[in-house]
Amino acid sequence: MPAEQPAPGGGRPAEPADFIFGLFWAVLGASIAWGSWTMDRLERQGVEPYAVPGLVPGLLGLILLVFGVVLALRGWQGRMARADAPPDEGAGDAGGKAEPWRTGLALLLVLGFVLGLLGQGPPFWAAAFAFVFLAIALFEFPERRANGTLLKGLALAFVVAACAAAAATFVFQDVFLVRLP
Amino acid sequence: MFEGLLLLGKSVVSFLDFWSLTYTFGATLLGILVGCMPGLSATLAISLLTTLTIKLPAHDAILILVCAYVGTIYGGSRTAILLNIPGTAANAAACLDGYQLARQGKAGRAMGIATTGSVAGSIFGILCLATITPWLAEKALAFQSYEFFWLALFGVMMSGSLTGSDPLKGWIMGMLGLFVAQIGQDGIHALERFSFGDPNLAGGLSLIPTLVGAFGASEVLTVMSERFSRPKVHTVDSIIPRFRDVIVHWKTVLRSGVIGVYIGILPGVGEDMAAWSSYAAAKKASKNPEEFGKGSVEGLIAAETGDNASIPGGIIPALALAIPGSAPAAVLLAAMIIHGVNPGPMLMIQHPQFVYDVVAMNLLATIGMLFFGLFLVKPLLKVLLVPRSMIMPIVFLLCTVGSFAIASRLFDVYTMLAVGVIGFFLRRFGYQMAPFVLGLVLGDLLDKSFRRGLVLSGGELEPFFTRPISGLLAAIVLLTLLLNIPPVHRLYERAKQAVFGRFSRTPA
Repeated sequence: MPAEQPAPGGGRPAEPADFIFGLFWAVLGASIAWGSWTMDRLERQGVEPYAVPGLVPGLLGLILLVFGVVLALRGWQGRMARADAPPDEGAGDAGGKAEPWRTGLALLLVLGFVLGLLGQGPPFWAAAFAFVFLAIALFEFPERRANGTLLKGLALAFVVAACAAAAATFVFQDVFLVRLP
Repeated sequence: MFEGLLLLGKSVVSFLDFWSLTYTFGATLLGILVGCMPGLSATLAISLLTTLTIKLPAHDAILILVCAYVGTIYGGSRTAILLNIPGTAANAAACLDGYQLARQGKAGRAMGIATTGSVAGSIFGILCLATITPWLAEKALAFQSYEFFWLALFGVMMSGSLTGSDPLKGWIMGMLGLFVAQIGQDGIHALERFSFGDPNLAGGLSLIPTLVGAFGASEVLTVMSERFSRPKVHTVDSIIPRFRDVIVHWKTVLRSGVIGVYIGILPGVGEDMAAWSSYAAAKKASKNPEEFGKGSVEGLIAAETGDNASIPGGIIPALALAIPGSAPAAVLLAAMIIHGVNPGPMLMIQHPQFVYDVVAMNLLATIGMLFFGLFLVKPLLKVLLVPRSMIMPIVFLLCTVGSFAIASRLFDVYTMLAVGVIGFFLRRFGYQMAPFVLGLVLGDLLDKSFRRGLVLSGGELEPFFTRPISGLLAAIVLLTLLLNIPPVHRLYERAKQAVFGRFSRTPA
């Protein structure tokens, strides 16, 4: 069986991050289980121990804890195996084709739009326009600069952003009667 | 039987008005366009459209969602054939032979085959939807909390096992989804769980903004973080489908239809698995297996029939049991609940007409798919040339405004964003969103069923394992878990080889 199609349960290649993630899931699972254990059991209302509100979340927390431990152990074994093996340049490239600057910019734009603009003063149409315009202009910037079509790109981004902001505002505010933030 | 036909006829007639037909063709076209764009999935299309159609009457909104669902899965074959990039995960199998046909200058023929295969699969699935749903709902009337508990867990476990390449990560996401569904007031005693005194969390995380975050925002971030490239589209020859291709391969169509519906019915297993399984079965049964992967018409028909047949297949358990067959069906189920329809065994008793309405919606969507597949192929290809750097910000804008529109709460927008950002990072490390979505939708059912079952049995776990259907589901869930433990799996493989090795001839 080829390496990219691992057999169920057997010989699955562990990612370098599996160990850390495994620990995280285990801690999260333990916290959920603890939170469920300390939750009100409604004994005064005569609720039986097997019907308490914390039962299912507690069990889910325990299962998550077990899965987390298994993942961490698998990740640890993988780390040991990698330490013995010659270095692999592709290892740890969990991002695939992702480019760090694009990831950072995408996060900055969406966080800035939702947390910085929406409901913070500017009207919705202006916030929507600013977000769409900046996103298109900035992501297309390298290609446009290389092709010498920067101004055309900015003009296009302006038109698309204006249309998108106007359409979204009209549809939701005037057709669906939603009071936009 | 005749009563069913009468109800179906009534449903079809009820949709033959201007607005219903406009919604049908508009939503199918929109679905095809979304499907054409790699990175945008059927689940995203449905969750986004759920927010956009929230103010419409239930029938119109669900009609739009069903049409978009069918259109998206079909539309994904376009990029699979022309660019070797599956528009949705369901079309990955179509890449193998569709792209090879395009390279041989037969892109139009390949799209014609994909259209006829999709229509054939869809019609087969619709027949099953109309016949199996009432039967399954009747059988499910005998189900108690024990069966529903296992069905919910079965859905999450199967989805975790079969989506992505690592079942452990799939199960973790499933458990996470089940847990997130427990946040807020519990469904039996109304005690607030894990809300930390925050009034926004008292009612739990809103389902649709969470789904939009899991599939919409995380997908947008994933696509935005990758380099955009302008695709080079192959030239297209005649797209008129050759029905001869389907007639010659009728056995493949039938087999793929059965596999597609079967996999669709399995809780939590989606269209992608249906396409791959149909493809593998067709290759195994083919007289020319060596042609598969080199432009085999049979292979392309199998993949496209399988994935489209699984759409109605996935809706069957959603309607009859309130257990979705796939991630898009999970969002569809959530949308139905939001619109006041309560799927489940009682649906056939309380609203039998609704089941046939959904059958009619699928039928209309199939007609829309055939129409656009025949007459709008070349104009539709223009969408492939629209850069994703322009589409993605608009999609995110719709995710934001759609999440807000449901309850006019900024908290829902923050939920969407938080789930989207977390989902984006988890996806980069191989964690799939489908089991999370299944867990989110099934969490409440699992919680109530488990505790009600225990109350009914006086705290005994025995009925969860001794009732026939419960026992069977429990066995499957436990076997799925055990077979993914490496030593147990190796033991199983050895035992299988020992048993089957005796019966198979070894070549000299």
